[in-house]
Amino acid sequence: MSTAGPAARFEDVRKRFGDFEAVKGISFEVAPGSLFGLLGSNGAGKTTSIRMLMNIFKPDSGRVEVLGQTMDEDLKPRVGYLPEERGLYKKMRVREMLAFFGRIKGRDDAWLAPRIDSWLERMGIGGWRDRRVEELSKGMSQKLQFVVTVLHGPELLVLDEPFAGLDPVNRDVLRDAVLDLHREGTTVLFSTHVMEQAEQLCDRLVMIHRGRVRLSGSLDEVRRQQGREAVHVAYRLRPGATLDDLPGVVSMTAMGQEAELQLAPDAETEPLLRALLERAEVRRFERKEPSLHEIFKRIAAEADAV
Amino acid sequence: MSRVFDIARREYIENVRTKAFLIGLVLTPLWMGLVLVVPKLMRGAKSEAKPVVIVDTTGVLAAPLAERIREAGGFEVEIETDEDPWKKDAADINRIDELRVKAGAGQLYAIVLTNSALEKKAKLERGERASEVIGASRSSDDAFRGPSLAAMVNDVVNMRIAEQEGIGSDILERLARPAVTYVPVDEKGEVGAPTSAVLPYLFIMLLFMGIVGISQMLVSSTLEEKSNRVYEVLLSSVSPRQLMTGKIFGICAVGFTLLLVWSGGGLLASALGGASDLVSGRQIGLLMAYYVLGFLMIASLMVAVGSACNTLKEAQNLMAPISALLALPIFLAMIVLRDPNGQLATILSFIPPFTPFLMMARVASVPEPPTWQIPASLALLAVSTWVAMRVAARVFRTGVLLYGQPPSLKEIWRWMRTKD
Repeated sequence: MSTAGPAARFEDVRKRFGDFEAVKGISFEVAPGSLFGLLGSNGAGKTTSIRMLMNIFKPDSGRVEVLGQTMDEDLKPRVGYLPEERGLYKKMRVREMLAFFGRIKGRDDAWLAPRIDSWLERMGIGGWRDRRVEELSKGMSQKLQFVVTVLHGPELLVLDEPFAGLDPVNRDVLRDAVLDLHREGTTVLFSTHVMEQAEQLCDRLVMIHRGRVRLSGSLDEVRRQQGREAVHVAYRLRPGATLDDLPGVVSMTAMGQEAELQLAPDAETEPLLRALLERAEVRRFERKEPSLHEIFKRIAAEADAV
Repeated sequence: MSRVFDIARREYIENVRTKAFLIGLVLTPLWMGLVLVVPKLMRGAKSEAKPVVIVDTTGVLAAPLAERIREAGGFEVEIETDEDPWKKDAADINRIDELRVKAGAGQLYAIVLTNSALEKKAKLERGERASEVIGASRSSDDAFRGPSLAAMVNDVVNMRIAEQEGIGSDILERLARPAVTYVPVDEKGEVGAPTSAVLPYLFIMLLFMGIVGISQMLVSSTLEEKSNRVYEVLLSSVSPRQLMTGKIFGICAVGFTLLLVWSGGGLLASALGGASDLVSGRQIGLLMAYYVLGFLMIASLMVAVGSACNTLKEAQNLMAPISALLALPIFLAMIVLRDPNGQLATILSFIPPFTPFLMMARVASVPEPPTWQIPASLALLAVSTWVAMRVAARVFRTGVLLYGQPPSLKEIWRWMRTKD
């Protein structure tokens, strides 16, 4: 079932739209069986990269491989793709539409019928199988879109912003489904601009900013690479005091009552705590690994400063 | 190949299930039947007698003419003898003007009989007044009754000339009889049933509805899928070319169903009506062949247009020149049918977008086109259809994923030249 080589591979891939170079030579590999996060802010080049992976766009230069070869028609049944722009046939009935999408992925009706029912049940929309798609709510349509993506049993799942626009309950339903598929051996590549989601889900990741790969590796590797420690504090400032120029702090994210302080590589926490106590009533002081959110922010800022 | 079939099947089922399709399937032949039958019924119905005023300045023709008109029926005759009906009264109006106004309003017909020239059918002398039949030009009824009155005047005058020249009425009758009749034959020299002059136009209309009408479905289906953003999902399963081919074949089958039902119904109706030799099986076969090839070509254009646009309005703007081009065969048919195998007809019917319409019109006329021209035109059509589908696929491939500003013609031209 699974291939020996990487499930997906980008090799110095570039793509330009008119004057705008969306992807500026990215390279990375997605190992088979991994749950891989493609991270970046809006406009970073995530969707363009994914579309090149799906052979919807052709790269201007470089090489994109899926399951060991260039994407072609024979490969398409082995991949499930959830595009950023969701699209369903609004006038069709749910079950008929699923059968159609399953058939063009090369599955026959007998294979599809039980799986359609079980997936719809699993998504909690089993009662809607004979209704028209346009009658479904937004959340239900999103779950239906997910069923369209996974119904044919792909080896590789490519999900572009799969959780965007979902309420917490539906997000959990979808997340659990993704995790189950991953456990069963499906390779998952998903993009997101919400770092917390990536932190919860993926085992390996690539971070793109402005069309370039800025970070890659496993979650632990990335944290180690970016090896600066952070301190989380909860505080109430004394009148006239500020958090400026704290000893050993290179940057921070302050949220009024709480802050994440990034420490210089060899900074000590004791002078910092003492300085803080002079300026504020400190309710919590905790040494922590930096969040992906912080890492991403700093890397983006560094890249933008160049 | 099976994916193309799956796409085509979905397209076919979704379109055949619509109310619009079912209504079109039933109502169109019903409507055409009404158009053909209603005038016949109207003509058959006894229409009201209309007054005819004969103003006679000759004093001799009015009586036999009145008798002739009464024999024919449908008119109420009134004779006015007036030596000078053009003489104006105190209000500056003369009798003829008065009658013209009433005739124009459809109240009556007027026949003005002047002197000598009419009686001898001689040329008018300078200053002499012409004899006239005056009537309205409002309805098809007028167009029929007016000339029939003129013909009756002619008969009466002929009779009078014959009488004066001593020609017997039997001779007159012989003169009126046609000497020969026109015998149309088919290419085997056999006396065929006279070909219906309507048939070529019927074929053109069927093809027009089947090709131009049905292929519009593709524009709306392409636009709908585009606005539902379903293309990216589809393209993760099939190639743009497979998708486009499937869509076109699916809609082609929709039109094929329509034509099959309509022409089948037409055959049945004409068989029941005792005119079973009006259309041959070969003609229906050719109709279907020209339909399929013509449809695939025109539909490629439509699908390319649909893919490049985002709204129906944009598409309509782009389609206006195409629609104008496609309406041309209806007018060109008149030229072609005047001399179905002339040089002009041959050249026009070998211009690919016109081929299905004009070749079918020629196939339905007598004499049929030379045998080689049918396979030759089908082959040419097939080649141009293949080219059209290839070029359309290039536009489709780029167009379906493009949102926002519709592309310029220059941009579309660039897409057409970009190889896979």
